[in-house]
Amino acid sequence: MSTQYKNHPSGAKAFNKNPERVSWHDKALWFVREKRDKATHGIPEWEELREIASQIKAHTLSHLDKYLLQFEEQAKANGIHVHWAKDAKEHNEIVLSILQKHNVKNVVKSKSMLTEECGLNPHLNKYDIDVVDTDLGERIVQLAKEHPSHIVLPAIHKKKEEVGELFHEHLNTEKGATDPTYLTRAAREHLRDKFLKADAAITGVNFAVAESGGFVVCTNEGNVDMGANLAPVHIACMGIEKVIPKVEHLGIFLRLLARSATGQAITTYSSHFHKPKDGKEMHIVLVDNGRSEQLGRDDFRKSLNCIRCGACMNTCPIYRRSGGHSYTYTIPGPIGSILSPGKDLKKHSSLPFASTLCGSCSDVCPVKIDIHTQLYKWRQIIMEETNYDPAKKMSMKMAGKAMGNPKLFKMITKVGNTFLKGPRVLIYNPLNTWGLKRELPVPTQTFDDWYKKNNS
Amino acid sequence: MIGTRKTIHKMTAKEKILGNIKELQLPSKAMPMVPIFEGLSDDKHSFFFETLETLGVEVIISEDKTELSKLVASREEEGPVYSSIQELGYTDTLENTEMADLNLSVIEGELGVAENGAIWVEGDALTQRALTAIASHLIIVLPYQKVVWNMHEAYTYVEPRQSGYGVFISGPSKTADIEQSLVKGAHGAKSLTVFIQK
Repeated sequence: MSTQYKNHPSGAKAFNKNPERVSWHDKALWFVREKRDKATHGIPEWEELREIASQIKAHTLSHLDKYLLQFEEQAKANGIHVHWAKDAKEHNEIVLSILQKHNVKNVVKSKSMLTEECGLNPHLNKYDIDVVDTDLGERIVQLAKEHPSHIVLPAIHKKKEEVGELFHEHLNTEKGATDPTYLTRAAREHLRDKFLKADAAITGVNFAVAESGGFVVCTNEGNVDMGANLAPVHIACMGIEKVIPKVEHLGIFLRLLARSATGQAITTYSSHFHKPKDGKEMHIVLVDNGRSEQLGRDDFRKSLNCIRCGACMNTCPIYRRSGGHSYTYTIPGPIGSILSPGKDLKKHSSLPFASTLCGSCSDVCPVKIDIHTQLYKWRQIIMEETNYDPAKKMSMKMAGKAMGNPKLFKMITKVGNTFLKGPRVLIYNPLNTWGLKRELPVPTQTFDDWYKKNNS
Repeated sequence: MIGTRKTIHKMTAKEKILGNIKELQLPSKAMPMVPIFEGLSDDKHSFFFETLETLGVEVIISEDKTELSKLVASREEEGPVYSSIQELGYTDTLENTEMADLNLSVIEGELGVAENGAIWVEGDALTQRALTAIASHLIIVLPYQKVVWNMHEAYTYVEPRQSGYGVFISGPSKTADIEQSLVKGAHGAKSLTVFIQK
């Protein structure tokens, strides 16, 4: 699933039509980033935890076939049905066939970016199966017929007035009501009914443990514990990179995940599923969908470390000011921008450029993915292999030539200075994007002159 | 959907995925050691209780064996009560529809984690697994001695595989999905009381 925009600049432009909303969005996410900082500073061994987590992931990825087999074997021994899906299509077919076998009409689903990636809901809808997203944020975007704009905070782009309107329309709340407690209570009642009537529950997976053949799902709302425990059939969908070797490794990851995501020490519910309850069924769908290919890319393998905390989004100056819907991939922000080009280089070619390369994403990443380095590397591949933004390509080539030739460079900086002092129309016109909506500084001297003066 | 038998073996998704991975022949990376991490202060119990309070949990520490039953009895008139502790004398068998009307669920915690306020609950010790989340209010009873410092220590005691379903619960259910405003009681319990039995 992707958003409506053809590339990031057009999505960002649309979002920026409302500067007041941009500033509100920016502040809301920075608030989450600050909570993250406070939570991590309370843990003296934070950096050590990050390093161990990164090493566990590197180790697991280097033996992924072995751990997947071990996981399957142990899960089967626990009485869980295990399925393998090469791609999104196979994943959707497998889920559908399980549901059809049980004649399921009503499904409750907790947060799962993988099922978004695979487009599961529209597929099931085609077969008259109703899927209700039960995470409050996801339910909001589902009612609004949108997609999550953030992987942890799906409705972060929505104002309470908009949620109030949606709930008035769909859940019969009072017109004009915007109180978050009132609205949340209304959703609670609405979704309780869905939980009790559901014939099956679909959940995501945060961690799957090879040695014990079970999996852990983390939520604050308790929707997984309601959904999966009430319905007769539980289907958990996971990317193959979600497997970790041992139970003791959960200690590392659960200390990192919620602190990085929302600044909580741990999510309210960390639910461990290993065996179905007597008389019920539990299924796991292991999905590749491009992951084994990404595993083969030396420069980008580490992107598979991701535990989906969203910290890189909260800290990203571009994400905060362009909104999650400006990205062409299901997973927005810096991590999505390094995961997506491997899936469709042309379609997602604008995403690695949606970054200042400031490196803040890499700094906050709990599993030490070198996100900004990978963004830079994708840029090089995109410039080589696609016809992305020929104007940019040309200007970069020219800049390269100018910077490689001191005489030419000196001449250009002098001319540039004259331009900045010259008539405004030369700088502030629609052709020069650098002059849009801002005043460029006018230097009093060239860098070269300054250097000579200060280093003589 | 069984097709006709073909002479050429069609690779299953599993074979394809594992084949792709094997073919890469990635160099092996070492498994790191997980060291023992110390607690964050000298007093894990005080730390645990303070953490619970910041999570919006009511903490009751009691040496009196009869206090729990008095507490639960005092809340009987609010609505139906479930308890996995048989001595308390409440129902411990319920159907889905009956569970939906529960006002209070009283369950036992196996282990408390001081650093994050999470309490391990064995779901299969309950008649129905959903009892960890479905009642409007939740009381978890935890013996005073059963507190550890952090998650590393917790996993040396907790065996998730043995319980089929188990959950670390840290506080009442909550959400901040509407403009980052924290609301207690999303889908699970609206309030959590941790009853520490000394």
